[in-house]
Amino acid sequence: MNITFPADPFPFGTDNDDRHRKFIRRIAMKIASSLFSIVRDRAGELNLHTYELRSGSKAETVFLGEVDIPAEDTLWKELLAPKQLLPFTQNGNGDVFIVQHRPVEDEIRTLGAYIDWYLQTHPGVPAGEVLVLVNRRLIGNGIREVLNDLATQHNRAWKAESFYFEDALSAPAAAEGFALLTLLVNPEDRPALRYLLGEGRADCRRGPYARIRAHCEQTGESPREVLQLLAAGALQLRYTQPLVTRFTQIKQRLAAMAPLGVQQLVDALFPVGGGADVATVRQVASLIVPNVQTASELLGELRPDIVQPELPGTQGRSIWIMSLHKSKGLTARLVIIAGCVSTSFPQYARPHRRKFSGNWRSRDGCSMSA
Amino acid sequence: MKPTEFWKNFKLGEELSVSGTFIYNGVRRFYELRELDHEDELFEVLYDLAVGFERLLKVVVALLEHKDSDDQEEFEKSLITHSRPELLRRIKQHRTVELGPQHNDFLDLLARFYKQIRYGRFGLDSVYDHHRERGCAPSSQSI
Repeated sequence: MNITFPADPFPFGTDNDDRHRKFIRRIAMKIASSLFSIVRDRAGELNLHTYELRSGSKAETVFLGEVDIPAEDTLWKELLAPKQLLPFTQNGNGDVFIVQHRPVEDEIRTLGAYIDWYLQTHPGVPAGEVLVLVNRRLIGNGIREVLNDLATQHNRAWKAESFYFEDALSAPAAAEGFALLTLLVNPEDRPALRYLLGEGRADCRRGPYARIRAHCEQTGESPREVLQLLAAGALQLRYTQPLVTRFTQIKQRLAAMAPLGVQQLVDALFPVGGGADVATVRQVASLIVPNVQTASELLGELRPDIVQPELPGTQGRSIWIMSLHKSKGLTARLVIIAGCVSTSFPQYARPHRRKFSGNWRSRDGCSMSA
Repeated sequence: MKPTEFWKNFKLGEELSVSGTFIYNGVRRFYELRELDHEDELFEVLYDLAVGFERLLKVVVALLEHKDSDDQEEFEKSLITHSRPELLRRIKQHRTVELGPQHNDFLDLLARFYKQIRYGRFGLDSVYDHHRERGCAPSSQSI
């Protein structure tokens, strides 16, 4: 880390910041996991179960987990001191419906019909006051299609819009394009490089990458620097050839894209022929292209548009359909939570996993649908 | 089940959990430190990590080295040591341990703390040696 603690820090002291915390944690976890792997292997050879750890124990967190202290603290705060729900008496009484459906198609059709009925019977309520929350894009987009069909059939003044742009990169083709763009702008971006190196393989080429990472930890070089040395023949590391081959392919693709203009770059990253897999990200990128000059600007605009798309106001004519996490902090007259399937939603807290806490508000009514 | 099998299967398993608990507590305490200048707080971090890794190293040594034909008393005596580098050396005689220089330095630091500094304040010379845990080194410490 090249951080030197002064011998006498008087009068200000030496703050413990996140760099120190991460460094010590990483060092301790590496030693612990290396030694534990020997315990596990040796116990296996001796036909023993020495390595078995009690579920939820601190030892399990150390040897099999990550000791993510901030995440654990957040979880415990939520478990030990759940936020008290206080009634907003000025909003008056609301209705809560809990409805179960057999097939998901029934749920989609029923919710579409219910929202249409609600807006017809509440003519003063703008469509923007209806919020549909569903974590599965399939259901959300299904509700959007049903609503828009109803709006067309009955000549309604509203329409439905879904906001699942965060899923724009869920298809491998879209993720690959985004990772290439990220590397084009910042060749040292490790998550993008790691994704591309492991792409297309079920094991993500974990073994060769672990060897490169171990070398990086010893030398302080970045994975890209090590891969460049390997590709140039200036360094030899056993069993890393598949990664070197893949790295060379990535470099060639990036070199071909480097001279392209922004529009050609979008065409190369998210081609029209990519179909539905890249359709959303291509659509978002196409809206950005006229306003940017460089790949860096494109990435700078594309990233927030995917992660934090601009939402229409509550007084608009669009019904909002989005994931529960995206909806955090929003308020609406009618909130519908769809797709409540056991084990899928709500997700109950497990050790080291964050619990969802709904921070949206419904003023008139809330419907939970499964 | 032979007593030695029971020992390795269950008692060393418990010891593995004990070591993990100490390591966890050490990492958590370090996370909770707001400043790195308070000897009492650093002592707790170093003590937890030193004990945790020493016990973990001993579990690994016991699993790798112990044979039923060995003199049990002698073997148990050989585990009475606070030298983490020595325990690591014994492990490396049997297995490749994938640790870099930083990890070895860290184990050396814990060994130095546990052997030389842990009880240092009970000696009169501690009057002239401030901030022992803060550096585990005479003037300053780099990480």
